[in-house]
Amino acid sequence: MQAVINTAGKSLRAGLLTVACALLAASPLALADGHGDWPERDIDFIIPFGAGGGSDAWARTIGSGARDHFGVNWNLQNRPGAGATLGWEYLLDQPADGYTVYLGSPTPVLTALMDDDPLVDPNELKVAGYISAFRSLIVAQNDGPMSDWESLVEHASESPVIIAGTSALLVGAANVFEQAGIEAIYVPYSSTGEATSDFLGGHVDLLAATASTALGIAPENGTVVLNSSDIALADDVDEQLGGNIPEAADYGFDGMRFPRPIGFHPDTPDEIVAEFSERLESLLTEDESVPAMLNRMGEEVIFMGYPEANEDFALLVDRMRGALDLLD
Amino acid sequence: MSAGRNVAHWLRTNQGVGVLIAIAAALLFYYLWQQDWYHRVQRDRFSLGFFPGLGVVAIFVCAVAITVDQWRKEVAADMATVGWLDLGWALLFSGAGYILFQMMELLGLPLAATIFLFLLMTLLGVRPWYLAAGIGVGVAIIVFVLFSVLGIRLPGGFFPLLGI
Amino acid sequence: MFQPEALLESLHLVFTLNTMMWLAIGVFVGVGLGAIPGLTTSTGVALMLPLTFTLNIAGALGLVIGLYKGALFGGSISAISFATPGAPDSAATVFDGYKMTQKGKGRKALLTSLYSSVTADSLSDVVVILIAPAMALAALQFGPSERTWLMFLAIALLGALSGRHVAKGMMAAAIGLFIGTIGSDPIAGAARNTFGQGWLRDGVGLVPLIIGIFAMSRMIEQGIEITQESKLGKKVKGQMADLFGKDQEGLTFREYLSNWREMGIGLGIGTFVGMLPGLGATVASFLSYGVAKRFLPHKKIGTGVMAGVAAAESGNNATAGPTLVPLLAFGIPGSATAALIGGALLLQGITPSPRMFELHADVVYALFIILILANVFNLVIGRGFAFFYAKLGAVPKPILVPTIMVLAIIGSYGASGNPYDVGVMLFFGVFGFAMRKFGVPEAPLVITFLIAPMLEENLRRAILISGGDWVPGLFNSPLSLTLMALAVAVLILSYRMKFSEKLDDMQHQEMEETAEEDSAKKSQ
Repeated sequence: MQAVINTAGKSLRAGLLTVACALLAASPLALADGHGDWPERDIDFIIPFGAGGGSDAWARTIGSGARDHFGVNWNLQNRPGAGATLGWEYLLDQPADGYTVYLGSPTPVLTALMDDDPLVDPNELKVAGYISAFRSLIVAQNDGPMSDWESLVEHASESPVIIAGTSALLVGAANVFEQAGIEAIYVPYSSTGEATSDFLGGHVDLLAATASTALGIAPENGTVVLNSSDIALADDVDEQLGGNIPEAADYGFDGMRFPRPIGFHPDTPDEIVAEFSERLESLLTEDESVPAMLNRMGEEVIFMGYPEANEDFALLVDRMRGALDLLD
Repeated sequence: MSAGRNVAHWLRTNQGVGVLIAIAAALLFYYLWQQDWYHRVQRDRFSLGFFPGLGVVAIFVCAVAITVDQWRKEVAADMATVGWLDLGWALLFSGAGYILFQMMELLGLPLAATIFLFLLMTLLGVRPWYLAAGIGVGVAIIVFVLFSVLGIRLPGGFFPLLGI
Repeated sequence: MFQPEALLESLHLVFTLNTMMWLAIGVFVGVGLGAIPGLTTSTGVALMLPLTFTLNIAGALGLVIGLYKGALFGGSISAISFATPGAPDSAATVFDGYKMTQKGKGRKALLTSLYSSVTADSLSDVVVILIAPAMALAALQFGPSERTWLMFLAIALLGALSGRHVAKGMMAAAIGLFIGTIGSDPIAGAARNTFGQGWLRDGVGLVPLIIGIFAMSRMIEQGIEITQESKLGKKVKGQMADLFGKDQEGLTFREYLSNWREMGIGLGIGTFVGMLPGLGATVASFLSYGVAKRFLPHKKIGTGVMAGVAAAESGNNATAGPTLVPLLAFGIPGSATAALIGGALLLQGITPSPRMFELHADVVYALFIILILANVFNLVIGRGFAFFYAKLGAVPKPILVPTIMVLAIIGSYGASGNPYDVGVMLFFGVFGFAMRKFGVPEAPLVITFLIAPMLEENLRRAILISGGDWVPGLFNSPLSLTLMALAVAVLILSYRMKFSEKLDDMQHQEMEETAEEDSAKKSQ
């Protein structure tokens, strides 16, 4: 009985494989004359985190508009584990046919950079686009000795400042502190909640926070001293946080952003990646419902397409590697 | 003969099991100690292996305590009757569970779960066989429908061989 | 600060057919979900979150909060009926709850669980409403060093769960400590203790560990027991008849009241643990269970009594309201579920922060009213479920054991969709089986597995913050000194209690216990 099923499964799989090979062989030809058949079937969309997190919410929201812009559905799959690199490893195991995409974030890149023997090489992703980006905002106590950038720099010249935050956000802060020659003790947290609570309780000097976390703190319980990224805050957010938040560039620093990339297997044909990128952009910008929904969730679309995002990603990996060394 | 029986009895006592656990902990510690990562010092001067090592040392100390404390000659209530066969059964059950999970990818949840439930229920004495089969089908379908309605991702679909 | 018009407005928001309906649906789905192994409160809330897109604010809050509270109680149903905790936070309920089911008092156990859950939950909600801002401020006093000592205190208190043979309990704790270090270093983030397996980098998941140790191991044990009996056919039929036969014994009001101390302990610990970010309902229920066991020795908790169920269940449900305190006061999500409730508020265009009390006072009041109302719904709907499951608990073992195994496999996979979790669950099934045979208690393992990594994280942060100095790092505030003194006092006290107990009835007790164990074995 078992054997019969196995053989049936095998021959079926063999058949499917032949068809898949044939399709694969045909696809570059079809694409060569400019209007390929891609996508012909649903696209597997890998979320390397469990259901319920920020990445999951993004994926579900934009996935709801996929059919209108891609003509096929996105088949969302949560593949969490191994610091979000298990899903990435899965992507690399799939054929580079453009039917499996991976939603990245700074977490898997950091994981891959911090391990001696990581599951994936952080450069092994062909990025079709950035859909959004985090900024690392540096928050200080109100009326404290570091409530603006100048006094922070001055204070730090006497003794190192203590800054709390999750790893990626600390990397963003470290990147600016290094350029400013500020000595700091970086205290990593696994959860934003604990980091914020320790900051509010005065157990650390500074907090590296995203804009949405900062909205819960400033201006009543803290002051945003610097936006350490290279993207300005939206006007209404800036105003809610107290207004006129300085940016890294204002002091001549090279700011760093943490994008949410969507990427393919590195061997995926450029045409497919470009096509995906175009359709993704129209989904995120032209569509009415998806951006509105994201906006209501307090999320913000910051799009960068192919090939710019792909080039930027390679640079970003290098810079994150450099900033990680600063944490040590 | 009687010496053999004595050893068999001793292995069931707290002291016997304690010695086995202590040996296992010592071997585990040796394995950890051999790893490169174990000795790598982190920026707060703790070595990467400090806390795992602490855990293994604690296991070792407790195992030794078990071999020398006032209950060392006692046999734990369930240890008196347990045999190697029981361990075999335990491995069989969890092995069957693992095979079930693998089969779900291939056969889909309802079919794989039905086969698993039928075989296990028959093994555990549900008679007649068609009662086991019927309950197996019923439970598998209820579980499948329930989880699908809730929108929870299941291993395998309804019947992957048919592409559903 | 109090805004009467806003309160009126919130009443209009809450007492509508729409809100009531979603609240009822939330509780119904929550209790049902909670009873399925592997599906925790946060999974449930996450699954329903997209639905809140389409609802108004009161409906959305009703759905999410109803689901949250329902699931917290629901977990205990399967813990009591099948020794399979629906979620980690009801694992402590297995100890006494399942023993009661085996004694034929399943229904009594379920009702105890329901009533103590609802009681502690309601009272903790009242506490939240009355003193939320003050509580939030107090919680902020807990920094890394204070949290380190708090964890020490928690572990010291849990000595009670180590059982009669202390060395075995300590060994279980040591194993939990070791398993907790698998994954990555909390400060440097590098992989450690993964045995060269990349997938272990995120550590061992709590859900597969709990399902393995509590549910799978017992199913393996029972499966083996059944194979050693013979001629089961007749027995199965007989038990099936029972299933539809007479009802079991219920719970009287007097019995309910007799657990007031346990519920008080659960209320206090749950409220306190709930408002501190990171600890969570599982720690609360184990702590409450352990403290009740230690300080109320005459109740014989652990032998299958109502008091054990009441302590564990009031402990986990009392965290429900208080986890929202840091969210409402500072926008800090105290737990994964609180974060999701925060997400639901955001979807409605409301940022959880101190300003919420001024800008959206009506929503804050509506939230408070819904918190209380959800308990009433939980009581009614929970009762229905409890009776249904009490019946299911009587399904003959040869049918139940394979079914629970299937649920354990799907549940451990479905919790996060990680196939390796199934392997982890099965491994801990066999491991837990071996532990039980050798008489090693499960509770200390789970507790150190949960708390030791937090202790390590906070200890190392405290030292990092003080620039590498241990003494100023760990003794930097009156609160840390107090907590340390308390931990030391508890350790000394429990050592002396154990010692005097031993002197008092060294032989006496041992004889009694063996007799008890024997009779318990026979009655099984």
